[in-house]
Amino acid sequence: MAGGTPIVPSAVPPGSRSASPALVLWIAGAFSPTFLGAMSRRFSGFRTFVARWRWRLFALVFCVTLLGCAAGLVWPIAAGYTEAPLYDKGRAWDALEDARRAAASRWAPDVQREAESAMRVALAAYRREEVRLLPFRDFRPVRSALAAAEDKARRAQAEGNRGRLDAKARADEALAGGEMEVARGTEVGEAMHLGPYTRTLLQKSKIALREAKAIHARGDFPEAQRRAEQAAAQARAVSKHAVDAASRYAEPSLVARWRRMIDETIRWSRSSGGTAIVVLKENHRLDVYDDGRVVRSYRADMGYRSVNDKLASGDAATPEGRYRITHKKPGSAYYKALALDYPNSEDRARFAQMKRRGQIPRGVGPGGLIEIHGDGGRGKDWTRGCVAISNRDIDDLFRRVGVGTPVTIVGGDGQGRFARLVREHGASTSGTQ
Amino acid sequence: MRKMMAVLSLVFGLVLVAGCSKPPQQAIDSANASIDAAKQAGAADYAPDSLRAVDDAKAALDAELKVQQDKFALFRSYKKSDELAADVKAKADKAAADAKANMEQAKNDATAAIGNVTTALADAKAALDKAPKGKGTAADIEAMKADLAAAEASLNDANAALSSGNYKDAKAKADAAASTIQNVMSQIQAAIDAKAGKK
Repeated sequence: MAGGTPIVPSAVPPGSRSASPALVLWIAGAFSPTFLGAMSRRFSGFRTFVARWRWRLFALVFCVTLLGCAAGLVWPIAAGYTEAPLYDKGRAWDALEDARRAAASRWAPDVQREAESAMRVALAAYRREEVRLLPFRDFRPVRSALAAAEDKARRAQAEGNRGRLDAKARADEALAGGEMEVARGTEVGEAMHLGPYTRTLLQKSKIALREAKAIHARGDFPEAQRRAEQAAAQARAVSKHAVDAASRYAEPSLVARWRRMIDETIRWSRSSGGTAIVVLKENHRLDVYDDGRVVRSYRADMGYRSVNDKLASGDAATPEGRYRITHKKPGSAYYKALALDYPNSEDRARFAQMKRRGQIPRGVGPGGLIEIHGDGGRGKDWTRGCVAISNRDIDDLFRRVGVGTPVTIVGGDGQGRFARLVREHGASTSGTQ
Repeated sequence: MRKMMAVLSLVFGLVLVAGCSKPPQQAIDSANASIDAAKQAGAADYAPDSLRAVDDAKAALDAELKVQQDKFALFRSYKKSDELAADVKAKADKAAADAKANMEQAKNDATAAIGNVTTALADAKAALDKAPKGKGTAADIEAMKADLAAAEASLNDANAALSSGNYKDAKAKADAAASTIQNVMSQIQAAIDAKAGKK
């Protein structure tokens, strides 16, 4: 450009303070014929060049474009973006199947739902890429989606396992609790004869526990836990009922009264030098005192509801009080028998009072025919209120006592099975309804 | 020229018809109906694995339909969708059949267990009525009656579970009651043997 005609007319005078008219002039100059002519001359060489090389240039541009396109198409293939992530898909499926086998849908339903959903999204994306033309496929997002689905499935499996183990642990605990309560209920059921309702309840608890075990075996832990807890509650109710019934055996004032009755009987025997009988119901014992000393002690069976004091006929309870032998029966339905004077005046007075209070139904009497007889020694309470000892023992007792011999029957001395039952189970059942 | 126009129109029409293919709605509806039938047949409880296979196949079908719907209309092809719909239907039919078979098996098991326990209970009651009664048997008889009452209550629960279609529970309850009845029968037999021994 040096030495030639200036391309741009110098329309803006140097040092001009007003730039605006100068700019207008400059623009006008740029499009002036003079300027265009100058430009045309300047680029005439270029035009000549293009005219001469146009096919070569075209070929060059075409080849560059072609190469660019080819590179654009081949690069994803070469880079592996188009390769279907079969291995990733397989891993994700395996993880999902593991989670399903672990029953994650049951033990971790939310996480499993997330995993299933993520897998479906990943598979849909997979299919979307799969149907594209090869160079346009890009499985990178699919790989990420499959990895996310696999992670979620693994988490679902882990949480499912954890949930199942937790549920199993809770069911195991409930089963152990049920076993313990049922064993306790059975123990108290063996210690005393339970009434029909309570006995049925105890049996129901055993059935419920068996059912709980069967349900546990088939893997339905929450239901097994529910049934085991039901069994435990039923058995606890049985224990509570039994402990309530036996509670008077641990009542200090009553135990003191019984001890006093025993002491008085022993004292009488000692002072009179006579023979006396003391029956301790809860100890299953009949003691024969002579001259204030125990000379014989027999194993005795009581009425099968002897946890109670006798109140009326048919209640199968052995009466508690001071009695005497009214007559000896060498020929009895129960081998031999010693008849007692139940009901005595005290029993009658109490019966009348209870009847007045409406605690005894109409048409029911105080009962009677209470005896000490044979055919006993069975190791369980089975009589309807009598005291039964073995035939060998009744033979021996028959020789030792006579009509008028005092017989003191008490609940116990505070150390027998009922008192023990209350001490052992009283605390554990006190919280139950 | 006219001939050429006619040929071009024909080709265009064919492309249009081929390009505007529609989803296999009938096959999809049929597959959905089969899925509903499988669920109603209790597949969730009695054939969970088969039902899961149905869910997977249905998910694959949905994905395929979505892929095709996202394509430009002329490039859609529902051939694979049709195959997948047929697969879903086949799997759903299998799930329904499995559920029915398993449910029938469970029902038969529960019915048989309840039948056995009902017979055993009747036998036990009859045996208890005929059991040797003597000195001191009142307490034992009362206890055994209470035990049988509990077994009967469990049997009633089992029958209720059977009626409501809860066959697994029905069987568990019946089996649990059976043990109690067997225990009572053993006690009665022991009493009979004891009496026979005394004679």
